[in-house]
Amino acid sequence: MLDRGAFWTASPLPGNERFAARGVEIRVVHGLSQVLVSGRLGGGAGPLAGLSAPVGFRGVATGPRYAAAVARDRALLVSTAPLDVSEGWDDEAAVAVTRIDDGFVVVDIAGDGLADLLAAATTLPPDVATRSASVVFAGLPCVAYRAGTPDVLRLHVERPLAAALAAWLRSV
Amino acid sequence: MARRLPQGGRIDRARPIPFSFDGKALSGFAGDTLASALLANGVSTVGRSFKYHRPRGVFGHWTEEPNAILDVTRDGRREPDARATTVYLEEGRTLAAASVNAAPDAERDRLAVIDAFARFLPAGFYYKTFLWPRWGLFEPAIRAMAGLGRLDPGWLPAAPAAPCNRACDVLVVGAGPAGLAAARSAAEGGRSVLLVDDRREPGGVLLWRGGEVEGQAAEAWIADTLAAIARAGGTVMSDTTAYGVYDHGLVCALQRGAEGAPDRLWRIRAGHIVVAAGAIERPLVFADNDLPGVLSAEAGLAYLRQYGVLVGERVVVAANNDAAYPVALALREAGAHVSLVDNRPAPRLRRLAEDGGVAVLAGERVVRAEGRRAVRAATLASGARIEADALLVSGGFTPTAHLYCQAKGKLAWDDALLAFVPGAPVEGVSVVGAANGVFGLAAAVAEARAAVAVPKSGGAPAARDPAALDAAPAWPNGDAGGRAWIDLQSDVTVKDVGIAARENYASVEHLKRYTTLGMATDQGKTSNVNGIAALAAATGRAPGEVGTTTYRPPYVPVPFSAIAGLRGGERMNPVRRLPLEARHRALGATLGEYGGWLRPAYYGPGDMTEAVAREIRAAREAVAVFDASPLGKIEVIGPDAARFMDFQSYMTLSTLAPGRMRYGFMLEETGIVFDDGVVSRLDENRFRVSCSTSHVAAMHARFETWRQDQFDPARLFIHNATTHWATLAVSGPLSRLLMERLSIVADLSDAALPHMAFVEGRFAGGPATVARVSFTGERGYEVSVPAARAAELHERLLAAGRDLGVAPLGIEALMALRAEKGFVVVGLDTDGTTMPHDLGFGGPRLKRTGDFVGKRSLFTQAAEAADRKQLVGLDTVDGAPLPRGAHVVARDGGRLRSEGFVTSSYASPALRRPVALGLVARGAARHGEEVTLRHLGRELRARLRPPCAYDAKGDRLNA
Repeated sequence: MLDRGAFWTASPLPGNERFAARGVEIRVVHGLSQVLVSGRLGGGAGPLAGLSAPVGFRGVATGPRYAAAVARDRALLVSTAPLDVSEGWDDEAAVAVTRIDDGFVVVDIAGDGLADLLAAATTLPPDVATRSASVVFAGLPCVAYRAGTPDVLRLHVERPLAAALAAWLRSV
Repeated sequence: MARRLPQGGRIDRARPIPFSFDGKALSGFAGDTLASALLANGVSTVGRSFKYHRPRGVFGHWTEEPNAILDVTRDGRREPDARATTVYLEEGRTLAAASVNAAPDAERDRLAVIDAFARFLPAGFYYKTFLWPRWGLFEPAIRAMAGLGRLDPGWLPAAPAAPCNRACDVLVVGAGPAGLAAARSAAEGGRSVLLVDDRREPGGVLLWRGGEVEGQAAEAWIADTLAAIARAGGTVMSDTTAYGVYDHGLVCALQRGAEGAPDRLWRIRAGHIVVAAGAIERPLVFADNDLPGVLSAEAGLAYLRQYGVLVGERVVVAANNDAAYPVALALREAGAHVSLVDNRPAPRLRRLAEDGGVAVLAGERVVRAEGRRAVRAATLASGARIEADALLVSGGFTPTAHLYCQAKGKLAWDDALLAFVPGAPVEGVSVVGAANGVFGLAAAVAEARAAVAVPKSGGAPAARDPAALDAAPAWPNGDAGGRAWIDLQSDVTVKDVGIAARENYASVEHLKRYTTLGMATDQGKTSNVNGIAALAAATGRAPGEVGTTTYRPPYVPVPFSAIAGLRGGERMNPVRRLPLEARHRALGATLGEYGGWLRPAYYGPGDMTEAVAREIRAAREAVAVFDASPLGKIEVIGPDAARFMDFQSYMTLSTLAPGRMRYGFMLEETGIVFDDGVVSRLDENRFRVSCSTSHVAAMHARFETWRQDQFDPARLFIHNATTHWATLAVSGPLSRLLMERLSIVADLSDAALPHMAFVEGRFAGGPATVARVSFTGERGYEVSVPAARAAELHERLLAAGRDLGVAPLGIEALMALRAEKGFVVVGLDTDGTTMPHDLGFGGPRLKRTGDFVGKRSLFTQAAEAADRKQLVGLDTVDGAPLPRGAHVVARDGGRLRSEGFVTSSYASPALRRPVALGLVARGAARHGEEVTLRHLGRELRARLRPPCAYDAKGDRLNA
């Protein structure tokens, strides 16, 4: 049987990695808590209590805890500190909650080449607002928004596809 | 013969560039195309025609070129079928060009003798000849002779370029006078503008026709306009061909990489597309008009003005319109002896031409080009003969409206212009200038400005003026003698069109397919309208009644490498990676692609069969660890979750208690098995569906569709948590012992954790779920931890189980183990007809009340047929393994009929014989029956049995 392990580069992510590509710096972000929350997102209760509306692709997420819009009724809750949430159905808040901490690898991308990189990675026009942070980036389904400042793009890519993202970023 | 003039042209004579053609060393200059350099070196034969191997020379000067198709090797990379008119010589890059379709070369082609047999090889000959005794005898030889160019199997782009996406308010295609005017107006009007042009230098026809635009000399006007566009924030992309318009105004453009840089694909979304792509000159059609030395008049002027090449010393210009006159005058001024043959009896520019030293023969036409290997003379209808070494033809102009047509625009025939021109406007698309049949320079510029003054399509009415060219009809004459060529690249003559018409291929689409007119890489740019006119004449219609064929992208050939961009090698279809990939590699796993994941097939060096047998024995006799991380973990959450699961599943799930699991199927609406898997109930409102690895995305999409369509989406939510968890399956008679050594904080006793139950606990300080479930038939546990802790769990299992003989288990071994148990793999042991009762699960079909997906399809006539294929086990009679795909056959009269086939087949170390599963008609009622199988000409025998061959009672689950 052909060993396809030779064809596929040994998976490089995640690790404590920083690398440069096409005028940007890429850094793997560790230690974030990630939770999927679906339901009445504007209800002001449950895990999203106290947060502003989930950010879309061009939105800037600020603070230690925020949410990114994954679908009309679904958000990815992100926190730099561990999140104390009960998984399952929250009847009071009318939301469904699932931990997904290890489901996504998170990378930050910043640099002068960010606009060019986005032109290669996505079909979204640079000046069109969109409510959703779910994008196809480099052909891969990702959650993407700006983290802290408009100059830093944060990507959440499914862990099994992190190697594919790294391969693309290295070759772009 | 063509030659380079001592001065003139836009080439840089201070930078000579060597190159070769068919092994001959030649030289050109920076700014030369390969075609202009070949002409400058006096090369008249650059290739051989497709079918008849007739000598052919350069005809055109840009993408319309039908003849000069060459293989070009640069920097060791061979690009087949390059168009010599669009390949630039580049300093520092060795270029070796070779003719195609000729051996040993274009000058001395051995197969030129084929032309002597041309009468046996008309259009469509392969439908009528070479049929006896059978086409297959001749086909290989004919196919070997067909085709152009040679592929280089080792070719790879030096460095691929990622396609780029771009959005703008206005995309202008073509940087001729109309395009430049439109781009400037739009940019100065405050809109974001992208102007793309396929040449290296903007200016279009102004580069060789010159003249005055809006009171300025052409050069100065071009420079001013470009500067204004830049000041207003517009972008100009040269060397970029907009080759296709797609849905929702998407335009794809190919930007050619200069100096070895890769080509790049641009995907452009524009609010408004302005097509200013100009027009292409049509040839005149007469006998032997394919001889080297016959070129388009526009090409003759372009070679002179752009490249300083005089195409002949004694030039005949044959024309039906005014555009040929400046060509004749320019060539005369460059020193050629020029005669202009005009089919119009009283051309209004006659005096101008004669004053300039051009001899004009009005009311005349060329009926034959004379010469053997190149043009030597032109014969006129009157019988007069003019000696010539270049014969330039101008039969009118065809608007380049391809992008408009791709955007679903419909062309209309304009009898005055003798051209198909854009008809009704298309939303979001404007066509301006010559592309819109506006051939006057001032009118084109004014029209272009007006078009962008209105944001949407339409704009000002077209300023088409037939007087701009004053063209007279000069269509191909079907009754004329000799071989008159309409499509040079496909070798199609006027007579071929006549044959097609006589054989009732009267539709233009049939004409195209039957004769191949317009089907070559030039896509009929110089031949389509002449072909339509010839068909019209042959069928007693007007060209407008015949119409055009459908325009499809791409406008020019586009390399797949540009479309693929970075998606080559492992970036083409990336596989998903396991969290434990590094550990599997370290353990010596041979990795394979399964269901979109890279997974261990087996472990250890040496023979695969031995390795798999070793792993099977470990699972049956000791304990084995399998990485089951890719198994789906889709959560269904909400007050309606139970009702939803009952609707989705073949089995009832609402009765499942929290902490319990149930195996079952999801069906299509047709009743066919879509997937199988285990569903766990976590609490009253929460289920976790473990579906097949390859069905995760499809299952998620299916759930989401039904959730939004049939249920209250506020009471039901679907979360795909597959990637969060890593799952290791621990299987074997010693599995419980190993589990006890893991220090998982949970009650793992059989009382607390019976088969098909799960508990939630802690492992190494983090959450862990332990399920009693088995795909091997041995006692088994699936331990799920967050993916970041997978390595720790895996390490602990292998270390703690060392003295127990623990072994990592690959997929190949697992497949054999489950086959011994008769467990199906959906898509392998099921096909597009398999329903759950075919697999032995008939209970829910008969007993369940309430609706579920696929239910009613389980009671159709076909679903209840007596001879349905059912899952069986098969044992060979002689001990040899049964090949997968072998058919169980029965004799039906004198013929064999298939009754089913083998779906899985493996060696079984546990049973010491091969085991197989299959789908066989009425299989469930035929256990014990000996059957015949056929496979690739061999006959085999096997005995049908129940699917489970190992531990039918399931005692080992609790061993």
